[in-house]
Amino acid sequence: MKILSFKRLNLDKMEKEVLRQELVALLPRLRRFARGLTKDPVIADDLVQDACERALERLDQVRKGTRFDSWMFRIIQTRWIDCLRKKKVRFEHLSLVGDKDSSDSIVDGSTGSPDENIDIKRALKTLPDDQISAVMLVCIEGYSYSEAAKILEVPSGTVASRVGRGRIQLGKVLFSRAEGERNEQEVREE
Amino acid sequence: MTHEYNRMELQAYLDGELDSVGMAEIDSLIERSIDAQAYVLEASRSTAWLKAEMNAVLAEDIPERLLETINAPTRYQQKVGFPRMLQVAAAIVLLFVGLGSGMLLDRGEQAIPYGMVGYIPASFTPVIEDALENSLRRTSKEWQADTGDLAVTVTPTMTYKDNSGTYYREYHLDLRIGEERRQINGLAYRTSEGQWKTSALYFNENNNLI
Repeated sequence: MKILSFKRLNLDKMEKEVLRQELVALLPRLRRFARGLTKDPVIADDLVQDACERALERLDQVRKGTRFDSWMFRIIQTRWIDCLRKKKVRFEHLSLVGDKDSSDSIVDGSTGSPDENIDIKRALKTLPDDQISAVMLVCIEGYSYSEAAKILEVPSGTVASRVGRGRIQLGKVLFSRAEGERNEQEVREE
Repeated sequence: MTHEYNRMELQAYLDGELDSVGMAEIDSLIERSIDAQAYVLEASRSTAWLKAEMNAVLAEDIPERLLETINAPTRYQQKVGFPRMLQVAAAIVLLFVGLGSGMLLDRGEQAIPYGMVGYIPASFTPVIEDALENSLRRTSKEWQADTGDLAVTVTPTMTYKDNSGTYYREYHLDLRIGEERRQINGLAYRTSEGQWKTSALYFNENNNLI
């Protein structure tokens, strides 16, 4: 993983261009992370776009030794929390797209899970936001607990706890559902 | 319910957080304990399914607008060469001009009280619908009449969904009617036929719906 070696407030035009290219290369992962947080492809792309705009305005704030990908994930996480807070204040009667109460999204770009009987999306929607962030960063993005802790600005133990609870909740939904369907199948076969 | 294993240790094992000694201990535990085996298997399967689902995003085409956002000059770069004080002064002037004019779109017989929006000209509807349906947040669509006296820039800002599944989008309109310019915010909902209908328009700083 590329470690940035730029000193704060000392980026020249070429260094910024390098970061732009780095940002383009990161887009698929950023979209995946945002999709997990928002659970909606439309709002996820909005979130990524917002984070990119914010990052480009603040490239000079990239510090020496900062992992650029971690910095971007942190911006997305922060912007999403801001978005959720803003929604509570301004539109209490509406749900921001991506809330766990919302139904399936307008545009579904995913190709589905390996087993059609396993409804991953439904399981993901049952996770609280803090657990989704931790699960996405550790289980999907492959960050260590300490790296995820820096992105989420919480202690490593909290990350471990959230990942653990998230996994248990996923398992509950996925396996109870799969188990139930297997039982139904067995009954029908009998 | 008690377990003969520590779930957090098994989880750390799965996430690669243990050193070699710790890994060996958990390997040994998994060999002995059916419960531990079941936990590791279930957790591994959940993670694998989740990965497969989320990794599908990686294969999708990147929306052009995201690439344009990155490749476009940043707001900071756009501001270079234009004195900030001048921008602030211009904003204040526009604000007072806007608040003072009282009338918005309707120049016809029906007078519209200050602070309210009567209607949006039908000629603006296609570009507004297009922007609400296809534009990402903060991405604008523009339209100008052939005569040059009407122009509008539409920029969606936020997206919402209510409990019935209806989508709503907030948007920002930058209007020019003749010599007059006005900025308005709106809230539209998406009908079951896929059309966007504006349900509220407002233009004060507190975002009070009218």
